[in-house]
Amino acid sequence: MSRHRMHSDVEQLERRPAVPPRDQEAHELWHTYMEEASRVVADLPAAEREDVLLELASHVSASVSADSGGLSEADTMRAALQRLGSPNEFLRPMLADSLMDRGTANYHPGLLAKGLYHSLFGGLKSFTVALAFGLGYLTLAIFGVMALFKAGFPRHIGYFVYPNGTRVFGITGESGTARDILGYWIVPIAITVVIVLYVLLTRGLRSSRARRT
Amino acid sequence: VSTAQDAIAKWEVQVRKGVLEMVVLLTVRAAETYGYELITDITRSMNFELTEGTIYPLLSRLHKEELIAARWVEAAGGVPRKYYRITPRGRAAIEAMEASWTRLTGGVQRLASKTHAEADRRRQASHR
Repeated sequence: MSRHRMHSDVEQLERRPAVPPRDQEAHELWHTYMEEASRVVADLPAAEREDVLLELASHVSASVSADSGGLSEADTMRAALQRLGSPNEFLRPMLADSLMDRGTANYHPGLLAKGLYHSLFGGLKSFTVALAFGLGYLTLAIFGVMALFKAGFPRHIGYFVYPNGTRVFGITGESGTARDILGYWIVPIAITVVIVLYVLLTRGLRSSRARRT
Repeated sequence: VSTAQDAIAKWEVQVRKGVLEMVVLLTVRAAETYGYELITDITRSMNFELTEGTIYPLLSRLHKEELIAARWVEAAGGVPRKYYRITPRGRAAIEAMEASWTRLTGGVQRLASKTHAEADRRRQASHR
Protein backbone atom coordinates (compact mmCIF):
# COMPACT_ATOMS: atom_id res chain seq x y z
CA MET A 1 0.00 0.00 0.00
CA SER A 2 2.52 2.60 -1.01
CA ARG A 3 1.47 6.21 -1.12
CA HIS A 4 2.49 6.20 -4.74
CA ARG A 5 -0.17 3.63 -5.66
CA MET A 6 -2.86 5.47 -3.69
CA HIS A 7 -2.12 8.62 -5.63
CA SER A 8 -2.13 6.85 -8.95
CA ASP A 9 -5.74 5.69 -8.45
CA VAL A 10 -7.01 9.25 -8.33
CA GLU A 11 -4.50 10.34 -10.98
CA GLN A 12 -5.90 7.69 -13.29
CA LEU A 13 -9.37 9.13 -12.74
CA GLU A 14 -8.08 12.63 -13.39
CA ARG A 15 -6.79 11.55 -16.79
CA ARG A 16 -10.22 10.28 -17.92
CA PRO A 17 -12.07 12.77 -20.10
CA ALA A 18 -14.93 14.64 -18.41
CA VAL A 19 -14.29 13.03 -15.00
CA PRO A 20 -12.53 15.78 -13.01
CA PRO A 21 -14.54 19.00 -12.53
CA ARG A 22 -13.25 22.02 -14.44
CA ASP A 23 -13.79 24.71 -11.82
CA GLN A 24 -10.68 24.91 -9.63
CA GLU A 25 -12.35 25.09 -6.23
CA ALA A 26 -14.79 22.31 -7.13
CA HIS A 27 -11.85 20.28 -8.39
CA GLU A 28 -10.01 20.66 -5.10
CA LEU A 29 -13.05 19.47 -3.12
CA TRP A 30 -13.50 16.56 -5.52
CA HIS A 31 -9.82 15.64 -5.32
CA THR A 32 -9.76 15.60 -1.49
CA TYR A 33 -12.89 13.46 -1.45
CA MET A 34 -11.60 10.96 -4.02
CA GLU A 35 -8.25 10.74 -2.20
CA GLU A 36 -10.11 9.86 1.00
CA ALA A 37 -12.18 7.24 -0.82
CA SER A 38 -9.07 5.76 -2.43
CA ARG A 39 -7.40 5.48 1.00
CA VAL A 40 -10.44 3.60 2.34
CA VAL A 41 -10.44 1.07 -0.52
CA ALA A 42 -6.64 0.77 -0.69
CA ASP A 43 -6.81 -2.88 0.44
CA LEU A 44 -9.18 -3.96 -2.35
CA PRO A 45 -7.77 -5.69 -5.44
CA ALA A 46 -6.83 -3.16 -8.15
CA ALA A 47 -9.77 -3.92 -10.46
CA GLU A 48 -12.36 -3.59 -7.68
CA ARG A 49 -10.71 -0.43 -6.41
CA GLU A 50 -10.77 1.28 -9.79
CA ASP A 51 -14.37 0.17 -10.29
CA VAL A 52 -15.53 1.64 -6.98
CA LEU A 53 -13.71 4.94 -7.53
CA LEU A 54 -14.99 5.37 -11.08
CA GLU A 55 -18.52 4.63 -9.91
CA LEU A 56 -18.22 7.28 -7.19
CA ALA A 57 -16.84 9.78 -9.71
CA SER A 58 -19.72 8.92 -12.03
CA HIS A 59 -22.22 9.44 -9.21
CA VAL A 60 -20.72 12.82 -8.29
CA SER A 61 -20.80 13.95 -11.92
CA ALA A 62 -24.48 12.94 -12.31
CA SER A 63 -25.37 14.48 -8.96
CA VAL A 64 -23.67 17.79 -9.80
CA SER A 65 -25.26 18.09 -13.24
CA ALA A 66 -28.73 17.29 -11.84
CA ASP A 67 -28.41 20.06 -9.26
CA SER A 68 -28.94 23.36 -11.09
CA GLY A 69 -29.97 25.46 -8.14
CA GLY A 70 -28.03 28.54 -9.25
CA LEU A 71 -25.22 27.87 -6.77
CA SER A 72 -21.53 28.22 -7.61
CA GLU A 73 -19.82 25.10 -8.96
CA ALA A 74 -17.91 24.69 -5.71
CA ASP A 75 -21.08 24.89 -3.59
CA THR A 76 -22.88 22.44 -5.88
CA MET A 77 -19.92 20.07 -5.52
CA ARG A 78 -19.88 20.51 -1.74
CA ALA A 79 -23.60 19.67 -1.54
CA ALA A 80 -23.23 16.65 -3.83
CA LEU A 81 -20.35 15.24 -1.77
CA GLN A 82 -22.29 15.81 1.43
CA ARG A 83 -25.33 13.94 0.09
CA LEU A 84 -23.05 11.08 -0.93
CA GLY A 85 -21.63 10.88 2.61
CA SER A 86 -18.23 10.14 4.14
CA PRO A 87 -16.45 7.35 2.22
CA ASN A 88 -14.82 6.28 5.45
CA GLU A 89 -18.30 5.38 6.74
CA PHE A 90 -20.23 4.05 3.78
CA LEU A 91 -17.39 2.17 2.05
CA ARG A 92 -16.26 0.26 5.15
CA PRO A 93 -18.87 -2.51 4.89
CA MET A 94 -17.74 -3.16 1.30
CA LEU A 95 -14.12 -3.28 2.39
CA ALA A 96 -14.86 -5.58 5.33
CA ASP A 97 -16.85 -7.92 3.04
CA SER A 98 -14.10 -8.16 0.47
CA LEU A 99 -11.34 -8.69 3.05
CA MET A 100 -13.32 -11.40 4.86
CA ASP A 101 -14.20 -13.13 1.56
CA ARG A 102 -10.59 -13.25 0.45
CA GLY A 103 -9.26 -13.96 3.95
CA THR A 104 -11.53 -16.97 4.55
CA ALA A 105 -11.01 -18.26 1.00
CA ASN A 106 -7.20 -18.27 1.27
CA TYR A 107 -6.72 -18.79 5.04
CA HIS A 108 -4.92 -15.43 4.93
CA PRO A 109 -4.45 -14.19 8.54
CA GLY A 110 -3.58 -10.62 7.52
CA LEU A 111 -6.72 -10.14 5.41
CA LEU A 112 -8.88 -11.79 8.09
CA ALA A 113 -7.50 -9.54 10.81
CA LYS A 114 -8.10 -6.43 8.69
CA GLY A 115 -11.59 -7.64 7.75
CA LEU A 116 -12.51 -8.27 11.37
CA TYR A 117 -11.09 -4.91 12.34
CA HIS A 118 -13.19 -3.09 9.73
CA SER A 119 -16.38 -5.00 10.48
CA LEU A 120 -16.06 -4.35 14.22
CA PHE A 121 -14.87 -0.76 14.24
CA GLY A 122 -16.30 0.48 10.96
CA GLY A 123 -19.62 -1.30 10.77
CA LEU A 124 -20.44 -0.60 14.38
CA LYS A 125 -19.16 2.64 15.77
CA SER A 126 -21.10 1.74 18.90
CA PHE A 127 -18.83 -1.31 19.37
CA THR A 128 -15.86 0.94 20.13
CA VAL A 129 -17.96 3.00 22.53
CA ALA A 130 -19.27 -0.14 24.25
CA LEU A 131 -15.74 -1.52 24.57
CA ALA A 132 -14.42 1.71 26.13
CA PHE A 133 -17.29 1.97 28.62
CA GLY A 134 -17.10 -1.76 29.36
CA LEU A 135 -13.44 -1.35 30.35
CA GLY A 136 -14.36 1.68 32.46
CA TYR A 137 -17.01 -0.22 34.39
CA LEU A 138 -14.60 -3.16 34.81
CA THR A 139 -12.06 -0.81 36.44
CA LEU A 140 -14.81 0.42 38.72
CA ALA A 141 -15.69 -3.17 39.66
CA ILE A 142 -12.06 -3.86 40.63
CA PHE A 143 -12.10 -0.90 43.04
CA GLY A 144 -15.40 -2.23 44.41
CA VAL A 145 -13.85 -5.64 45.04
CA MET A 146 -10.92 -3.97 46.80
CA ALA A 147 -13.25 -2.07 49.14
CA LEU A 148 -15.36 -5.15 49.90
CA PHE A 149 -12.55 -7.64 50.53
CA LYS A 150 -9.87 -5.54 52.24
CA ALA A 151 -11.10 -6.68 55.68
CA GLY A 152 -10.99 -10.38 54.70
CA PHE A 153 -7.66 -10.25 52.83
CA PRO A 154 -5.65 -7.40 54.37
CA ARG A 155 -2.27 -8.61 53.01
CA HIS A 156 -3.59 -9.07 49.45
CA ILE A 157 -5.32 -5.74 48.89
CA GLY A 158 -3.66 -2.35 49.30
CA TYR A 159 -0.81 -0.11 48.27
CA PHE A 160 2.34 -2.06 49.08
CA VAL A 161 5.96 -0.91 49.00
CA TYR A 162 8.54 -3.67 49.06
CA PRO A 163 11.95 -3.30 50.71
CA ASN A 164 13.56 -3.23 47.22
CA GLY A 165 11.39 -0.23 46.26
CA THR A 166 8.82 -2.06 44.10
CA ARG A 167 5.32 -0.58 44.45
CA VAL A 168 2.10 -2.53 43.93
CA PHE A 169 -1.38 -1.03 44.00
CA GLY A 170 -4.52 -3.16 43.93
CA ILE A 171 -4.97 -6.89 44.37
CA THR A 172 -1.78 -8.94 44.72
CA GLY A 173 -0.83 -12.56 45.36
CA GLU A 174 1.39 -12.26 48.42
CA SER A 175 2.73 -9.05 49.88
CA GLY A 176 5.18 -10.76 52.31
CA THR A 177 7.49 -8.18 53.87
CA ALA A 178 6.02 -5.22 51.93
CA ARG A 179 4.73 -2.23 53.87
CA ASP A 180 0.99 -1.52 53.55
CA ILE A 181 1.02 2.26 53.06
CA LEU A 182 -2.68 3.03 53.18
CA GLY A 183 -3.92 0.32 55.56
CA TYR A 184 -7.69 0.44 55.93
CA TRP A 185 -7.78 3.94 54.39
CA ILE A 186 -7.91 2.09 51.10
CA VAL A 187 -11.57 1.21 51.79
CA PRO A 188 -12.97 4.78 51.76
CA ILE A 189 -10.57 5.71 48.93
CA ALA A 190 -11.78 2.80 46.78
CA ILE A 191 -15.42 3.57 47.59
CA THR A 192 -14.89 7.22 46.54
CA VAL A 193 -13.26 6.10 43.28
CA VAL A 194 -16.21 3.75 42.63
CA ILE A 195 -18.77 6.51 43.16
CA VAL A 196 -16.90 9.12 41.10
CA LEU A 197 -16.19 6.68 38.24
CA TYR A 198 -19.77 5.46 38.28
CA VAL A 199 -21.19 8.97 37.95
CA LEU A 200 -18.65 10.06 35.31
CA LEU A 201 -19.00 6.91 33.18
CA THR A 202 -22.78 6.92 33.34
CA ARG A 203 -22.96 10.61 32.41
CA GLY A 204 -20.57 9.98 29.51
CA LEU A 205 -22.62 7.01 28.36
CA ARG A 206 -25.86 9.00 28.59
CA SER A 207 -24.51 11.85 26.45
CA SER A 208 -22.97 9.44 23.92
CA ARG A 209 -26.38 7.74 23.56
CA ALA A 210 -28.11 11.12 23.18
CA ARG A 211 -25.69 12.10 20.40
CA ARG A 212 -26.48 8.96 18.44
CA THR A 213 -30.14 9.81 17.87
CA VAL B 1 -37.12 17.16 22.35
CA SER B 2 -39.80 14.53 22.44
CA THR B 3 -38.49 11.06 23.27
CA ALA B 4 -41.51 9.37 21.69
CA GLN B 5 -40.69 11.10 18.41
CA ASP B 6 -37.04 10.07 18.77
CA ALA B 7 -38.07 6.48 19.32
CA ILE B 8 -40.25 6.51 16.21
CA ALA B 9 -37.48 8.11 14.15
CA LYS B 10 -35.04 5.41 15.31
CA TRP B 11 -37.55 2.70 14.50
CA GLU B 12 -38.19 4.16 11.03
CA VAL B 13 -34.46 4.15 10.27
CA GLN B 14 -34.30 0.46 11.19
CA VAL B 15 -37.36 -0.44 9.10
CA ARG B 16 -36.04 1.46 6.08
CA LYS B 17 -32.65 -0.18 6.38
CA GLY B 18 -34.42 -3.52 6.45
CA VAL B 19 -36.47 -2.95 3.29
CA LEU B 20 -33.76 -1.12 1.31
CA GLU B 21 -32.55 -4.34 -0.31
CA MET B 22 -36.07 -5.21 -1.46
CA VAL B 23 -36.67 -1.65 -2.71
CA VAL B 24 -33.40 -1.73 -4.70
CA LEU B 25 -34.27 -5.08 -6.30
CA LEU B 26 -37.78 -3.88 -7.16
CA THR B 27 -36.40 -0.72 -8.79
CA VAL B 28 -33.72 -2.58 -10.74
CA ARG B 29 -36.30 -5.14 -11.88
CA ALA B 30 -38.45 -2.37 -13.33
CA ALA B 31 -35.65 -1.03 -15.53
CA GLU B 32 -31.89 -1.19 -16.01
CA THR B 33 -30.51 1.73 -14.02
CA TYR B 34 -27.34 3.31 -12.61
CA GLY B 35 -26.48 4.28 -9.03
CA TYR B 36 -27.45 7.94 -9.03
CA GLU B 37 -30.73 7.36 -10.89
CA LEU B 38 -31.56 4.44 -8.59
CA ILE B 39 -31.07 6.62 -5.52
CA THR B 40 -33.19 9.50 -6.84
CA ASP B 41 -35.92 7.00 -7.84
CA ILE B 42 -35.96 5.49 -4.36
CA THR B 43 -35.82 8.77 -2.45
CA ARG B 44 -38.57 10.24 -4.65
CA SER B 45 -40.99 7.33 -4.71
CA MET B 46 -40.48 6.22 -1.12
CA ASN B 47 -39.93 9.60 0.54
CA PHE B 48 -36.67 8.16 1.90
CA GLU B 49 -33.87 10.17 3.43
CA LEU B 50 -30.73 8.29 2.50
CA THR B 51 -26.99 8.82 2.74
CA GLU B 52 -26.49 8.22 -0.97
CA GLY B 53 -23.24 6.31 -0.56
CA THR B 54 -24.86 3.50 1.45
CA ILE B 55 -26.40 2.16 -1.76
CA TYR B 56 -22.99 1.16 -3.19
CA PRO B 57 -21.94 -1.52 -0.67
CA LEU B 58 -25.46 -2.93 -1.07
CA LEU B 59 -25.24 -2.97 -4.89
CA SER B 60 -21.80 -4.58 -4.61
CA ARG B 61 -23.17 -7.35 -2.37
CA LEU B 62 -26.22 -7.98 -4.59
CA HIS B 63 -23.83 -8.14 -7.54
CA LYS B 64 -21.59 -10.66 -5.76
CA GLU B 65 -24.64 -12.76 -4.91
CA GLU B 66 -25.57 -12.60 -8.62
CA LEU B 67 -28.99 -11.13 -7.95
CA ILE B 68 -28.09 -8.22 -10.23
CA ALA B 69 -25.64 -7.89 -13.12
CA ALA B 70 -23.67 -4.79 -14.08
CA ARG B 71 -22.10 -3.24 -17.17
CA TRP B 72 -20.24 -0.01 -17.83
CA VAL B 73 -21.75 2.22 -20.49
CA GLU B 74 -19.56 4.93 -21.97
CA ALA B 75 -21.44 8.20 -22.35
CA ALA B 76 -20.52 10.40 -25.28
CA GLY B 77 -18.43 13.23 -23.85
CA GLY B 78 -19.45 12.32 -20.32
CA VAL B 79 -18.44 10.09 -17.44
CA PRO B 80 -19.21 6.36 -17.94
CA ARG B 81 -22.11 4.96 -15.96
CA LYS B 82 -22.38 1.55 -14.33
CA TYR B 83 -25.80 0.13 -15.17
CA TYR B 84 -27.42 -2.60 -13.10
CA ARG B 85 -30.07 -5.06 -14.27
CA ILE B 86 -31.90 -7.91 -12.60
CA THR B 87 -30.72 -11.51 -13.16
CA PRO B 88 -32.99 -14.61 -13.25
CA ARG B 89 -31.72 -15.38 -9.78
CA GLY B 90 -32.57 -11.84 -8.65
CA ARG B 91 -36.03 -12.16 -10.16
CA ALA B 92 -36.65 -15.36 -8.16
CA ALA B 93 -35.30 -13.66 -5.01
CA ILE B 94 -37.56 -10.62 -5.37
CA GLU B 95 -40.61 -12.83 -5.97
CA ALA B 96 -39.83 -14.73 -2.76
CA MET B 97 -39.34 -11.40 -0.96
CA GLU B 98 -42.70 -10.12 -2.19
CA ALA B 99 -44.45 -13.24 -0.90
CA SER B 100 -42.72 -12.92 2.44
CA TRP B 101 -43.52 -9.20 2.58
CA THR B 102 -47.22 -9.89 1.97
CA ARG B 103 -47.26 -12.46 4.78
CA LEU B 104 -45.45 -10.08 7.12
CA THR B 105 -47.61 -7.01 6.49
CA GLY B 106 -50.78 -9.16 6.54
CA GLY B 107 -49.74 -10.59 9.89
CA VAL B 108 -49.02 -7.16 11.34
CA GLN B 109 -52.39 -5.83 10.03
CA ARG B 110 -54.30 -8.74 11.55
CA LEU B 111 -52.50 -8.32 14.87
CA ALA B 112 -53.17 -4.57 14.87
CA SER B 113 -56.91 -4.93 14.22
CA LYS B 114 -57.21 -7.79 16.74
CA THR B 115 -55.51 -5.81 19.51
CA HIS B 116 -57.59 -2.74 18.58
CA ALA B 117 -60.80 -4.75 18.96
CA GLU B 118 -59.65 -6.16 22.32
CA ALA B 119 -58.73 -2.73 23.64
CA ASP B 120 -62.15 -1.38 22.58
CA ARG B 121 -63.95 -4.25 24.31
CA ARG B 122 -62.00 -3.68 27.52
CA ARG B 123 -62.75 0.03 27.44
CA GLN B 124 -66.48 -0.63 26.99
CA ALA B 125 -66.44 -3.23 29.79
CA SER B 126 -64.83 -0.76 32.22
CA HIS B 127 -67.46 1.87 31.37
CA ARG B 128 -70.34 -0.42 32.37
